Amino acid sequence: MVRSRRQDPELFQDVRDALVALVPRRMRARITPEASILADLGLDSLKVVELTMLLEKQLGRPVFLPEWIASVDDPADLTVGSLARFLSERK
Amino acid sequence: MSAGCTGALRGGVLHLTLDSRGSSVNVFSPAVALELEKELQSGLAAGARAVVLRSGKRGSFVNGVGLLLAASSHDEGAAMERARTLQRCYERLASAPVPTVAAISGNCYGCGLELALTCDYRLAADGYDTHFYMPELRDYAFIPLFGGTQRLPRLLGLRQGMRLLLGERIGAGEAARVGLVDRLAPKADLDRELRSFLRDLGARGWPKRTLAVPRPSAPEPLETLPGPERPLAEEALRLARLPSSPGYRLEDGLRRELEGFWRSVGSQQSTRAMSFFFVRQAAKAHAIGSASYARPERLTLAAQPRSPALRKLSKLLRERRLPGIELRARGPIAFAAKKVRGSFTCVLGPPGSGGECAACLLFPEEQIPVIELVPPSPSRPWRRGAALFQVLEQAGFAPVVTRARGRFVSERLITAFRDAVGGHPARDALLGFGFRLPRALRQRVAPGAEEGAADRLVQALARECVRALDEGELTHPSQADLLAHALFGFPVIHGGLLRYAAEGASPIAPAAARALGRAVRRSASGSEPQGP
Repeated sequence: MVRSRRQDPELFQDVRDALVALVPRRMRARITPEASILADLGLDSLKVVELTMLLEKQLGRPVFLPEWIASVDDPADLTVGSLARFLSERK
Repeated sequence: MSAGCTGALRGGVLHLTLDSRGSSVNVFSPAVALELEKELQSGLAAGARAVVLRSGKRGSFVNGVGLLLAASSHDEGAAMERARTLQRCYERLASAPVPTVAAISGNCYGCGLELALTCDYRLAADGYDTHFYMPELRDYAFIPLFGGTQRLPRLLGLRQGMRLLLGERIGAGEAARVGLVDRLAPKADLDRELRSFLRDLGARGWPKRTLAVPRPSAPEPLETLPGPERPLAEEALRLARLPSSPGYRLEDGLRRELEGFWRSVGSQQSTRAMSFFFVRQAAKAHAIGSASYARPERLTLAAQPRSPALRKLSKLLRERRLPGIELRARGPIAFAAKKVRGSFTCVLGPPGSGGECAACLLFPEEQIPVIELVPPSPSRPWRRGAALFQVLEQAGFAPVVTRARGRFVSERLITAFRDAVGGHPARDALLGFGFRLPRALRQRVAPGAEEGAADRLVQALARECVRALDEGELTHPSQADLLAHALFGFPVIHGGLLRYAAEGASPIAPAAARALGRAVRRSASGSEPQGP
């Protein structure tokens, strides 16, 4: 699996941990940096709110995901890796 | 595995059931639309004489098309392709050669209402959670894209059609009165009513509906809307007038509607408005531990005995047809303040508990009254809070949970409002900025466009919210944003109050920016808040 060069492994792990708590057990193997949170992990807007809460608890700082959602060109670009990058850029 | 639509042919009738996988409410995604289209085609090929569309989710017919898609679609080619997939599904249903019936129970919002509008007939369960609502213009600042601007005025006339397009939320009874719904069923008897309706339809030879031309009607003047909302409302009105123009063709109307959607959804106003959805849901998640939908079977509340407050609350709950709600007399009033005319406070809770939370209901005459709930202990989990919150929300209240001590946070904010603009000639200035004030507050401000009034109010509200966050009476900035929106109609096109205040150059900007961070750290650590 090719990982993005700019990937922050620590934050990818945080995002992964939060997603593990949200997605069904059988889908956990799909949580890769390239996975789309919509198409591959089946998140909807309410689940994204739950994800926000989990990330805020884990990171101990505010997380405002609408900025990330509005930053992509296409819903397919809402990947786990892009979320980790978004969070690390706003440390 | 189904994404969310299954079909079954029973007694010659195709029953299409919407049930979005993995979601607490129905979301009409492109994947679900493709399934619906496929099931429809195979049902019709198998000789279905009628089609019934219904939901497998309790409390939700369809809640939306997925805001994530709308908020993250900036590439026109891919977005239009998705929109066309969905539109094709709507038009297949609309052009089915046999009668189509939507059997509606629960929230019927946005694209779900547009889906129901493609059907020949609509039946609705007369329950507290059956609401019809088009959030597109009012909540997200974009033009609807699945026929709402065309089919609502065709069915209801321009006046009623515009009412819905502009974001008025109506219950099942009102929907039947204006002609949106053909038959009402008692809450528990939607199935029986549907069977009877299908029998009647069969006895009449399975007729399609012929739309009568609605009587000419003039829409409400748009000048009463908050200023920033008017251009989009004017665009919706232009689209809604198309069906009554000579030589009108539905497909042309739908094409122009889609163009209007694409122009509006990319605007900064719409981006901020869509972000407010997440603010609203985050406030809820912080209040009750989850943003997901859950419906309690039964809820018994206690309130102070023989008080006017209890009578008012009973009346409101009766009007909203809440099932399983019982009011019993018990418990003292926690905060006795009654600073806002028409508001009342009481204690709600299960019998025998001596009161679960203090409640302050403001502006009960408004369509969505705000109710501030204050649980007794900030440290213990509020177990029944989620049930109470959900019931109130689904019945059309705007519940906000705070940790107020001695005085409700909403009362503090209303005092700040009065100090900033009360009695000033500022009504037009506030409307121009986009505030949608409840009537009781509008009357407190004199007509006029006093310069700087809107800025002064924004700063005053932000300052009071920052104080409440610092004092721990609000535990997350999203709660401040929600209160500003629910109480004063702070415009969603600016996003949340604090983010707006933080981005400006006003004296409150640094404190607002700090509050957006500090409050979360405190809430996330679960520690008791410190004083200012």
